Amino acid sequence: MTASDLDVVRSVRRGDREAFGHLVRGHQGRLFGLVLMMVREPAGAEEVTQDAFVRAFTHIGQYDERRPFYPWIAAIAVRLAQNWLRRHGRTVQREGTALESVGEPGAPASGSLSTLIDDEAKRSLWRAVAALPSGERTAVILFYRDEMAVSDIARALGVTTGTIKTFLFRARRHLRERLKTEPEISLDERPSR
Amino acid sequence: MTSLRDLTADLRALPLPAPPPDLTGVVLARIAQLEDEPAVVDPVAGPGATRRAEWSVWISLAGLVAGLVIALFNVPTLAPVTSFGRGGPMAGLADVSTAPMATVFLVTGFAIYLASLFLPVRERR
Repeated sequence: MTASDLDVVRSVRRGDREAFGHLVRGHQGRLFGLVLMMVREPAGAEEVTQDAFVRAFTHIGQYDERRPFYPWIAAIAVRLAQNWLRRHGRTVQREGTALESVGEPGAPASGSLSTLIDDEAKRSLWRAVAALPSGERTAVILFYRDEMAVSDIARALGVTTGTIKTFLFRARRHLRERLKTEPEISLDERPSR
Repeated sequence: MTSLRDLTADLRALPLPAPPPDLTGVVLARIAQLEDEPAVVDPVAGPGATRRAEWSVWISLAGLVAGLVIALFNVPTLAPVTSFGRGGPMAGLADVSTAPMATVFLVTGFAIYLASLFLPVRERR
């Protein structure tokens, strides 16, 4: 946990509600991106992200200051997103091209994926990640993009570290298959954390 | 072929959508709403309700005990049912059903017991 996050959490615990805004501003980007990749619907992602922050605020007393803040709130968001998916009957979906139909979430309400990602290789990679099955996609986002440890991801998803490693292994295999037309991209075989 | 480092860097820089611009404001507003909401007054949770709940527990226990006493002892003679071999424990109940006073006690106790069981539920509505 960064020193500023810790300071803010302590302020919130002392009753400074406004201080919580710093935490929201600091983590909303990563959290919203993660949730959107899970629920694949901007309105749903916004609802879940809001709920995650509110839940974090009301349960701030349960937060362990020795651990980083983001994995804690990411775990809350993942659970809420899973509940949201269950409520909306989208528990197990292999969401290949569905992402395109949600307005290409690269766009903050305007623009498109093309305008957001001008690098073709990154765009291909993004599409390949977006097309992964839910568990693999979440694991990839949390591990690579959010740089969370395998154990933290396992805790967030409520599975074992072995399952996360399997998700990452399969994700790499799926990415390799999808990206084999993109020879400039190679994949690491082992999670390093 | 790009190295692993490049891929990891690409994945770390994976473009994800920006959150709605007013997300912080909405979250803080929701938190403020939570804190400013007056505590929901639970009629059962107040001191008077607590006292009623305690009474209902005692009344239900008393009713249950009264019923058991009447069932196991042959009220009004208060002769204990000692011979379970002859007719078994239900024999006492059969006798009770013929004793008007005992029946009144049993039915009253049972009625109080049942009423007190449902009392908290009715008050919450």
